[in-house]
Amino acid sequence: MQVEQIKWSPKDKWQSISDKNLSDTANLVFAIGNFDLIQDPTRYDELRAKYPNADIITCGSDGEILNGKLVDQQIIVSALYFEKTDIQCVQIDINQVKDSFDAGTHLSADLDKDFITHLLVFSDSKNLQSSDLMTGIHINLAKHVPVTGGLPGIYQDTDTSLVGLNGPPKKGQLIGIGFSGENLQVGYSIARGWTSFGAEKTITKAENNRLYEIDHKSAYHFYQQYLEHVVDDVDQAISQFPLGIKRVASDPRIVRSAIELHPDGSITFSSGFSIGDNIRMMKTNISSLLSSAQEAANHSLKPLDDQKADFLLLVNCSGRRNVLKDWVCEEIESVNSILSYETPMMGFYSHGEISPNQPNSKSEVHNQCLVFTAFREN
Amino acid sequence: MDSNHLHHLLQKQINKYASDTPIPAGLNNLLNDISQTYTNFERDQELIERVMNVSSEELLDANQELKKINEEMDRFVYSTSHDLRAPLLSILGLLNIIEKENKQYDIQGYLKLLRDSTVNLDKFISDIIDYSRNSRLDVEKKEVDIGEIINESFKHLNYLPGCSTLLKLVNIDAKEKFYCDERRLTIIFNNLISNAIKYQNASLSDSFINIEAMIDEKAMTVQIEDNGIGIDATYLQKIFDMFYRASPDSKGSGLGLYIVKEAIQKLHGSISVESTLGMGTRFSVVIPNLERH
Repeated sequence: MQVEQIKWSPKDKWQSISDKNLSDTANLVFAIGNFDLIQDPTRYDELRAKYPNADIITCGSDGEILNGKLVDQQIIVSALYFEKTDIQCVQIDINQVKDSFDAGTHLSADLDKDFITHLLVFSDSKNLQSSDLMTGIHINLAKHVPVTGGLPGIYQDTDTSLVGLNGPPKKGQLIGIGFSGENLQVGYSIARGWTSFGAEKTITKAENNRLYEIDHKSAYHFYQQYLEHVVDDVDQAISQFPLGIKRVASDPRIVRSAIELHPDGSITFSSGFSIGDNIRMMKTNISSLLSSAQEAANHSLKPLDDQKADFLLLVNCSGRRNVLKDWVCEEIESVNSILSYETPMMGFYSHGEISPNQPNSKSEVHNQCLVFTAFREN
Repeated sequence: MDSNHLHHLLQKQINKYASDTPIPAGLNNLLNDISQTYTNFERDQELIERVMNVSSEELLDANQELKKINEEMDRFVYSTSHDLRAPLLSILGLLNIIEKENKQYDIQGYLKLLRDSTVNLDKFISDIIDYSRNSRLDVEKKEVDIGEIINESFKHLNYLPGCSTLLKLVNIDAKEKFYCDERRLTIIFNNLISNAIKYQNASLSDSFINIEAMIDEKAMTVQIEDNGIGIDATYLQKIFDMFYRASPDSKGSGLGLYIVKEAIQKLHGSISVESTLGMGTRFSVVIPNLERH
């Protein structure tokens, strides 16, 4: 497997970062960029001209992660040449299917499922019930096939999800990339860094991403009970204290972050709940976020020969930036520090991260997490 | 750096250990970061304490609730087994007599007594079912027709002696549609109406029950009045208790009014009673209109 990288900025135009002469051979290209830049059809046309034989995945991000650095106002591109692996890209227009579950089943139905060993998924999250989407995907896909990826965008603004396949990115798209082949190794892991506190509560009323009641009282009441007089402004603070869902006793909690408080005391979250979910409040600090990122990056390399990746993809929740503030760059640098010097890595910011909650379990949409997918071809 | 923004402990530490040396501007970010860490640490401590308090209160409340339920359960099991056995024993006694006497002529009389005991037993068991239904099931909101519920109650209770001769006055003033839990309303009306039928004043020939209901957007207010035997003032406060029977002649299970009170509580309503011994009783019930809640 070979990887070369280029980048584009309004000032410097296209520049090469690493050149492996993959113009004709690259079969998969990831282009991640600032919302305005990446939507310009000219950029896509230029990429198409450079990589005529590749499937090109385009994706809008608020800040781009490139080789251990956070860059801004750029388009970053990784062109991948898989020599012994089959790649199949599928695109579903979410507005053309009935619901999230349907979107998932369509996606997995369109894939040649028999030999798939890993599935990457990028999607718009607007009007999407993420756990239904994952259930739909797994309907046609063996349970042991891990699904990783994310919902690009800013976590307090679900209107910003832009993804595209062989064209500039746009809203309302769901894209799957299936990998099959015996020579491909894929490692994945999820960095959380959140700890739960307080008593276990039960979700008693929720509709999709909107949470109405916890133990028959308004969602806001729960926050008020814990946070009033501890923080200056409870309404502001709810976004700093996500809820963690416990679905399987021995598994870590799935994090859900609050994004909007409504006058009736209900709260919209970045992803959904089911009635009967057990939850606790979650908190974190800069230090646990940083160390979780490094640990998870390390973990994603473990299944690979020599623990070395040919390419590492990051999907990082934009909500983590609100906690990290000045330390955003350190999170990415700490990941880079465990990679060998020349390993190409790239990533985008998201408001939903897709990964199995535990190895070999069903994939879920998480919030406030950082998902790594490491590729190596032997 | 504005030193007023530093955490008070950090400020004290600076004053104590570095009061003589001016702090170089290059250290401002470091100090702000340390200050922020102090603040976060303190907030987390406070948060954990708060959550411990909230949780321990919740635990105490839950414990209290469990104790209450447990006590009720104890009483329930004791009284139930006792009350279930009484009619059964009388059925067995009657069967013995029928077997021994071996004569045809009085069988009809014994059969009637057998039937009465069986009906009592059945009533008691269905009260228990109502009780457990009320405590287990969630409130089910739908539009209800109070007139229909009251009519059904009278029809259902028609087997009771004295039901057909009782003068029934029903007046419903519905200004709004009423949304409530039909099953619980049925339980409430069945019990209150059956009391008025059962406890008529035998010396009167013009026994009546008068039901006045008024429904508006907020609630339904109902008065159920009779001119029956009434309840002694000393017992009045206890009639809603489990297994309390105000009259020694009472044939009831002692559950009826308890179930009424529990059902009304589930609907977030209220009930009160006024009574004069020998003159009659009036129950006043207020049940919120769920459409507005």
